[in-house]
Amino acid sequence: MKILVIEDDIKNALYIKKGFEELGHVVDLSADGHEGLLKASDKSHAVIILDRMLPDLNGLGVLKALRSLGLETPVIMLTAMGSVSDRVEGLESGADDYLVKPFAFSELHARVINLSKRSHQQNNEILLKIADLELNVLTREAKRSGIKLELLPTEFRLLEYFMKHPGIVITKTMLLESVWDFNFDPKTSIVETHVSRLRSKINKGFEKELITTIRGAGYKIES
Amino acid sequence: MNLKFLYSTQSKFLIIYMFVFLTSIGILGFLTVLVTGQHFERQLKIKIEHEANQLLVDYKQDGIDELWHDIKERITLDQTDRLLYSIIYNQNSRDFDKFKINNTNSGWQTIEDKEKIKIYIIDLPSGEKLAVASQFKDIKLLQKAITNNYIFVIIIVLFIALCGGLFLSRRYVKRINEIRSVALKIGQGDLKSRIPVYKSNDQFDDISIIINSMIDQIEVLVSEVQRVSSNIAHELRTPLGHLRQKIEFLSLNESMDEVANENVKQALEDIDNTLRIFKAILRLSEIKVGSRKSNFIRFNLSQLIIDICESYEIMASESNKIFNHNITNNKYTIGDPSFIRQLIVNLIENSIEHTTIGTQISIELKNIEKNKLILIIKDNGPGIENIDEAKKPFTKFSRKTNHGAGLGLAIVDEIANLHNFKINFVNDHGLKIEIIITES
Repeated sequence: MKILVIEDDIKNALYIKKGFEELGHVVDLSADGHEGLLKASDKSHAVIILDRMLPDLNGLGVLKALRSLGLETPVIMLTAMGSVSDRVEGLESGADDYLVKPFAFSELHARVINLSKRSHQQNNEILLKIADLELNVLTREAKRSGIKLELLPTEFRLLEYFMKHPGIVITKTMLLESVWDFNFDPKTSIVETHVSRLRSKINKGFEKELITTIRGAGYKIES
Repeated sequence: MNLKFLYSTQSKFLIIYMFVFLTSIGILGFLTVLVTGQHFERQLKIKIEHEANQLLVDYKQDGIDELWHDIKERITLDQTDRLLYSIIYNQNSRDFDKFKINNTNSGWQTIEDKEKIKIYIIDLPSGEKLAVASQFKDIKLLQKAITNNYIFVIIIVLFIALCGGLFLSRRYVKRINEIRSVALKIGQGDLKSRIPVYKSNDQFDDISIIINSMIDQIEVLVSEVQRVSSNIAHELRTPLGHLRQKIEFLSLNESMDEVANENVKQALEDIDNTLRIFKAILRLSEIKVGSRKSNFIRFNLSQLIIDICESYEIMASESNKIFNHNITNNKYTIGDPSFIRQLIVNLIENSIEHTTIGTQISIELKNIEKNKLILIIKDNGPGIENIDEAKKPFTKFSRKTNHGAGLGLAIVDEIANLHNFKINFVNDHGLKIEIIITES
């Protein structure tokens, strides 16, 4: 996969580059908005990582220019500002995801992979299926091998999120943001507790684990 | 009847204003009556003297008989409202008007009989005396008329004074109230408020300008403090972020032995904790900047709380605590849902984290009056020793079992302030937090 990183903090850019390259991806670097825009326009990148604060043309400007050129490449925006209004502003300008600095590389990696898959994937199916697990988004029913699972509303939303993102690493923060709508860090291990309860409900009476823990990164449901 | 309004600046002003008006009118009235009385008396004396002299001239020309006739003629001609005349032969023998006299000495005398009479006596060369006198009736009538009119005038003046007083005092009270409401807003942390200046160059303008520049200075200082602290957090985040990345890559290195691996893991946790604190500081200053009301929307508060309760009921039972909730359905309010979510989560987590096994935690939302909701989050744990301190950032508040060192309650307090929620921390067989929320 080819990734474009538009970031003026050279140290940060190099770490991102090194991280992705070690995992076998190709990374293009660009330290300012104009150059980044130019590189992006050849449409060869699967995902663009865009810093919000850039000299000359800032991240929002680059994003607007990209979208007005008809470029649909998924963009994840990096920002030092974590406020909700900044997040909303970023997403409204056409960013597909938003990550507050400093972040764990594993978090960025999970989100980049998620974005690269999203572009091929349809997320609006009514009946989601993974192995023998079935989830109906409309009737709010989940079954495994035809046996109905008794899920609480939060557990249902959690499972729905997992099933809409099969085969990729899902981080704790991604779940907090999407399932709980929390953009702060709770003190209690709310994600871990709920995932483990969901898991035991899904696995009760079955051999095969469907949701696995990825050490130091998050969770994954098999595709 | 509530007499409190009597103590207000406005009614004090009004009472003083009317008192001054009435006193001056009273003094004016008194002086008018006095001066007109004296003036009339003087006029009367001149008239009497003039008449007496006239008669004396006649007497000197034609003798006592002519005088007698003259007087007779005057009395006959002018029946009403005339001067009184008397020729005195001796103490007991008098002609014409028999008004009372004190003595027969020449000159002025005043008699207080049924009515006040002014008498002027002159000696006639032939031994008789001529007395000319006048009653004070006219003066009395005039003074009475003036007094009566003054009562009417006083009523009008009272009315004018009342209107004028109201007008003036309202002007002043309005300006005092303007200063009051701005000072109140500043006290609540709204540093954008300023007192209006009317360019009338009066003391109110003067004091308004001084107070406004004082607020300017406060605003600069406050924003400077916030800027510095959030800048420190902000500036340190980038190098700390780089450090974190380095440690993270180290942790991915599988050739490390177990001890090194454990140390790296520990370092990663430490740096994550540090970053969490910085994040909380930035969050705090984000809320504090206050005017972040751009994300305010009307939302279903009941549903938001119910969703949180569903998750935290499980969290509480995992740590062996009993969690109850009683949320009235479909109550709406205006605010930033993401902040409100953090407020409620912080409080619930505070109760879960700082209490012992078996503690009961309850959360309740209900109306206390129309359009006013109360959210009560309560536990029967150890409570907080120094409740006021707990709301300040970085103050270690002590719950008797555990020590929290955090920004959690400071953030709660700031979020409540931002939304103008009234928040009370009470030790009531445990910790009880009450938040008054406007329903909309």
